Amino acid sequence: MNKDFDYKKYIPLLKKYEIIIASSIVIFVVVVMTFLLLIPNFDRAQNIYAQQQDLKRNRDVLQKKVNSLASIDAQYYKNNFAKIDQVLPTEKDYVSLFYTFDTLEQKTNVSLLKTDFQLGVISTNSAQLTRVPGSSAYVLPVGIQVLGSLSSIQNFIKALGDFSGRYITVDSFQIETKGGDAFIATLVGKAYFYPLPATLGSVDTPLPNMNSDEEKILNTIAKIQQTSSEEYSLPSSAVGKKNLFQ
Amino acid sequence: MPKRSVNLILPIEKDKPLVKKLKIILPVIAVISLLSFTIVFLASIFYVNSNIFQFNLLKSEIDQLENNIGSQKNTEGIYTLTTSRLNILDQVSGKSANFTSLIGAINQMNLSGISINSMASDNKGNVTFSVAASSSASMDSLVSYLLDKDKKKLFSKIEANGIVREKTGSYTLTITLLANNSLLK
Repeated sequence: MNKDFDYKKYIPLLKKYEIIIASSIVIFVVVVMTFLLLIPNFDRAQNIYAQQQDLKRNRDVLQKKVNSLASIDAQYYKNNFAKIDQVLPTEKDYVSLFYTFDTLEQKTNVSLLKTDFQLGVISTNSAQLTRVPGSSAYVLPVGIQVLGSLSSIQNFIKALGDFSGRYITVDSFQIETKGGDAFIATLVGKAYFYPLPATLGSVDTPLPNMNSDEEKILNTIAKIQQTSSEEYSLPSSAVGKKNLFQ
Repeated sequence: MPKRSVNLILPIEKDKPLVKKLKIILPVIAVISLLSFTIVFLASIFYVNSNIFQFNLLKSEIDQLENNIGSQKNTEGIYTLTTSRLNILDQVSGKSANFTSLIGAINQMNLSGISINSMASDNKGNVTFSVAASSSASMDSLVSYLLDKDKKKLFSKIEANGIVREKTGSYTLTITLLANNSLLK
């Protein structure tokens, strides 16, 4: 038996169907190349296009931010930041509280009898601090007792919240007569402070918008007299001999 | 012997009708598919390169914008810190009570013969105050005043308690009421 493959007997068959076979091979190769090359190419193009759209959105956000920054009067905000810091400081800053009370005492003709703060909040940074709900600002409970006429007490309460000094809200009051036109008012309220954030956000973080109420507050604060650091310092006290042998 | 002829020409085998059709259709399909594939593939390469070019342009534009923003970090910082503080002040001032109008309204009760001994209020408008009226006529004025405020919906739930008539004919009493929100703004 002849075990060798006799290909010669297939040659007539190939010749008979050569057109069909060649065309089929071409069609098969085209189909395979479509799946191997063409479709991945289109996928790649789609991915690049999608990334392009993301970049366009990012570019628009950044352009908007650049335009907003260009329109900001940086000097105006720098000039007023120290004043805003007086109204809402970055730390508890009891000195500014005392200064505010002293100033209002003179401005509204009341006499300050007593001020109370929560000692636990003063003593250590780890003491329990209460935040303003929904924000990063902290609350400093205060109690104030003043003596004056009803109208001067009314002016004092108004001045606590008019952004002319440290901002203090009054939650409740009690006023009692001391005879004649003199009243003692006991006010329970809150002062606030807002520590500086650790970061300002990434480069593509949009600038916050300022609404009309906030602009009004800024305009009010811009008019206040900025307190210089000298006004905060205590007067120097006379000291004794520095040298005992003199 | 008669002549014998041998026909050496092989008879041509006729193709079946299906094979005939395939011999025409398949080459056409092969040529068209090969041409189409070539055109579409070249177009896809062009499309990809064009997209890459646009992508790189956008990337460099973004880099420039980021550098610009980076150079204005100080301005951004001062503006952001300012608006965040103003936002807090706006939030807090919007929610807090301002007792100036309320005290003014109660102070108006210092009519002839009426003196206010004490007053107290919380930030929800729950007011308590004690008054001394020198005569029944003054009491009458006080009541008229309170009723007027009640009519204007500035005061509500007005209650008078502990009415004491002194030997001198004067009255002392405690009044509780609920002040309208408009008096706390």
